Amino acid sequence: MTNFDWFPLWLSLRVATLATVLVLLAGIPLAWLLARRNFPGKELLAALASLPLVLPPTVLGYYLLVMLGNQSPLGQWLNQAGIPLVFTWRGAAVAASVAAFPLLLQTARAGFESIDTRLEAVARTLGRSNFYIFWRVTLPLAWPGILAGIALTFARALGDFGATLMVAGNIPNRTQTMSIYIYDLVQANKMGEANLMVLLMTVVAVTLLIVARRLSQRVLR
Amino acid sequence: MLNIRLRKRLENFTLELELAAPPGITALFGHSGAGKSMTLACVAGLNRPDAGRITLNGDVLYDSERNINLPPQRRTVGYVMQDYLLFPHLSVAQNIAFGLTGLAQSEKGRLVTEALQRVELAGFEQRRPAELSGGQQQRVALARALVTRPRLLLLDEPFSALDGPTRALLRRDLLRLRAELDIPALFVTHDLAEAYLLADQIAVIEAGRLLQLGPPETVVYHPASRAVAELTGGSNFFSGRVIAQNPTETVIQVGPVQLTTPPAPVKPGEPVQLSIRAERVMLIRKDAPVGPPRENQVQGCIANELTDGFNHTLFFRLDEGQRLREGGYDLEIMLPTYVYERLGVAHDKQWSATIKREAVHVFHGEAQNFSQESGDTS
Repeated sequence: MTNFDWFPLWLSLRVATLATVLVLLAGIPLAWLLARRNFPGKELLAALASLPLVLPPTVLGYYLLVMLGNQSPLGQWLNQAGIPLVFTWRGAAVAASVAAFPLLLQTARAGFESIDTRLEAVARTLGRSNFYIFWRVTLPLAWPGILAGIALTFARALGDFGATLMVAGNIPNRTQTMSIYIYDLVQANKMGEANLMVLLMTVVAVTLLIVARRLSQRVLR
Repeated sequence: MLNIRLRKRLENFTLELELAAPPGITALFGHSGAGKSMTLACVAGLNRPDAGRITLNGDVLYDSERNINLPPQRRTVGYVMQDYLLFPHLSVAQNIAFGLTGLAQSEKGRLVTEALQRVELAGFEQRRPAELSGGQQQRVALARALVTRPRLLLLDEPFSALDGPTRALLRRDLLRLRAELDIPALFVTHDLAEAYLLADQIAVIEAGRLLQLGPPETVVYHPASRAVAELTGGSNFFSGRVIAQNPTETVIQVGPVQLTTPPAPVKPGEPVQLSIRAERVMLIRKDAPVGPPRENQVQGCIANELTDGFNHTLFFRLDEGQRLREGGYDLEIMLPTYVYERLGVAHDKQWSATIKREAVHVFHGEAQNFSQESGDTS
């Protein structure tokens, strides 16, 4: 085991962490919006946001590749800004975040919806700003749901294969994540290493699922 | 002084109220869904009326013409709701301190301690809401609302989620508070006894309209309309016609019976509605000395009765020739249990009764809105 390659595990953790942060930044506001506001096209937006859950990951990856690639205005702008995404680990994080996005959105939305809005109403009559109320009342009360969403998001991002492969490719020591590495090991018939990696991933996934379940039970209580 | 004039379209009716509330408790009394809670929400700024004007001590909170609608944060109202709505993730102290801004930590702590002492919960600072009983939670909610020194207190069915004994205790607390209250308080309730006990004035609201505004005694004992009489526990409703009117009394023909009432603002010949309060009809003691007939004396028998342990409700059927209406009985009579026992009503169902003049409320108009009696005058 001396020449054991830790890079894919390390990369996967990095990708999953960045993906989770990205998902949080976009998902919390959107979840709040869907839970608390009514606007035309709301359900369409909710459906679109959940699309990654049902699309084949390769299709999702293809969309992202087209959107972020050199041919698209967004891709060109990203290149100029010095943060190219295609065939980089950041691209892998973006791909994983899009794939995992619906998981956070749905749990966080449920978390916001479980809060009695009259608590916020009372808070407003007590003279506090809407911003303060969001941080002091809304977010803490939705937090168990959001935390469960984070665990699921992280687990999903950690294991993403298809979308990541399409966007970031399979470059050893650059964009080769655990799930892609495992595929390579099996292709190369290195079953011993593959077994170890698979076991590692399974332990991490089971742990995260237990955490997520605990947290969501606290929400439903 | 709180002045409300508002209109808001609701699902089944339009809420349309004009109301002035001086310092002290104004009860908004009526059935659930009459628009009482919506009125509070509009005053608090949590809902927006379609039109109108709300001022508090002269400051405009809402004015549709000038397009003013202050956010709840700037209205300085204390709002206490039915199910307390304490922040479940915060301690009692943090709940109470929630609305205290711009104060040093020590000053906040002092105010919280004081507020808790006032509601007799000293030492509860570090508890969580889930560890408190319903009554304790409601007292914390009240303390949280009052600690910010609001200029107006809104109480939305604050006791209705509590059990009987706890409710009685909290009513007593609120009575004590009322003595010190120098701000207007709107108190929403569908419980007449609660409104009568606590309020300085009662606003009777039905389907978005203010039917009557006045001191509790006036609303209950001089209802302005049949609708108010019905809402305030009146029973015994009849249709009649005025046959005589003079400065000391009004005489009204109901079926074959002539009832004398205090002078009412009606004209001879006018069709009217009557309500007779059940607790103001007296059975005449059989050992009483024989004298001239009592006022509005009638004879009959008790056709049916029921009791809640404190009072007996008798369904009194008048003798033929005196019937006030068709059906199994004419008058509902309410007797306290001790009177029922002293008179021996349990063993004797044949009685004379006197309907006290003051028990009869006279309202203008025919029974057109009340289908069960329509057709006898029109």
